Amino acid sequence: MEPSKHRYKKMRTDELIVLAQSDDIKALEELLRTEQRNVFATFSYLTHKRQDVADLTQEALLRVAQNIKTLKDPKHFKSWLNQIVTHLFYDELRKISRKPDIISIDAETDNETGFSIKNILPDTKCKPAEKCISSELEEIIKDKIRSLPRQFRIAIVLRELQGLSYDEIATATQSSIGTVKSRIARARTKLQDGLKNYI
Amino acid sequence: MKELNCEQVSILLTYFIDKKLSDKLIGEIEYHLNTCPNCRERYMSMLRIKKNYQEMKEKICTEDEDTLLINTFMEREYMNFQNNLSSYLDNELDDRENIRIKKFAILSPTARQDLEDMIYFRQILQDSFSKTKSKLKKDLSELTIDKLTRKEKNNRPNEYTQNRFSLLLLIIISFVTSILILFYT
Repeated sequence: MEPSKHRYKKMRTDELIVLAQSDDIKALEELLRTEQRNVFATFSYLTHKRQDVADLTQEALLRVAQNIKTLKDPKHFKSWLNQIVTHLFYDELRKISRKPDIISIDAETDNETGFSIKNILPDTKCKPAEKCISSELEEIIKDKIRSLPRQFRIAIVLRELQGLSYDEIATATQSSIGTVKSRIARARTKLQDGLKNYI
Repeated sequence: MKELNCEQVSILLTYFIDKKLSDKLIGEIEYHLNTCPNCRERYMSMLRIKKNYQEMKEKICTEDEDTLLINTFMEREYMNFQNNLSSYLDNELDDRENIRIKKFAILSPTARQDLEDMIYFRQILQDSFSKTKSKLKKDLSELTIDKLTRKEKNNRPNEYTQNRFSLLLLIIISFVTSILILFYT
């Protein structure tokens, strides 16, 4: 690995943001690299259609790259990024409600993200550490979260996965802190109940 | 009538205290107690015991009320605990409520169990999330940068095409004017 790339790897997110805002394309790339898994996972728990996840992730990253200069305070990056994610998700829902749900048989394997039926099969690389949960359980949890009402789903994903504060979630979803509080609490109870037999 | 002796009085004393004797007998016992200091002493001690017993009984009754109070308190606190557990774990409560939840978790084993269950559940969620994160196989960052730079290029009018366009325009104009000049002359 070249030394310059290594230098970026060691940087904190806010440093990367500042550099990216001053047209440092390598810093921007590194920033996207560190955030992509997060965004990908977020969409995985939000959207029902598996093949949309990669597209949505790509689109979110592109929006981050295009608009990084509009972000005033690097401290608010996380909440800003999640506003992008939430907006995209809402847009997607609107699109889905307009057109009927058509799934192409050919689209089952996505070369870009390696999405395929293989991913559903048990992960043989999984180490027998106690922290490691099975792919099966992960899928179950994903399904349970996806089957929550939309607002609950967003709230719990932004809280648990993205670690946003209630205040930030309220801003991202345009609701009050009280609403966010009750949505998260209820989502947790529902999920806990739903997963009782699995964990 | 023969006066009551000490033995008879001691047997009747409990009934006397509970006022379960005839007026005639009561009078006779009162008479004996006034004359016999021993029996009087015994009577006084029995009275004391009865009084103590009654006090104890009353105390137990109020304790029942206390337990009732404690139960409603526990119920109320448990409700509060359940409502705020989620926010507590997210560190979104104010200091007062925070302490309230902590105290109740120490006090109630059920609450503690709930807390532990919730923490465990969240760990599972986190594990699931990190597993999902690791499922992104392709690096999208480079792709995004590519797309971005391509878009910017498209948006910026190319100098070369611009030059060519103006050159073409110039030729056409000169061509038209030359034709017009030829036509008029």
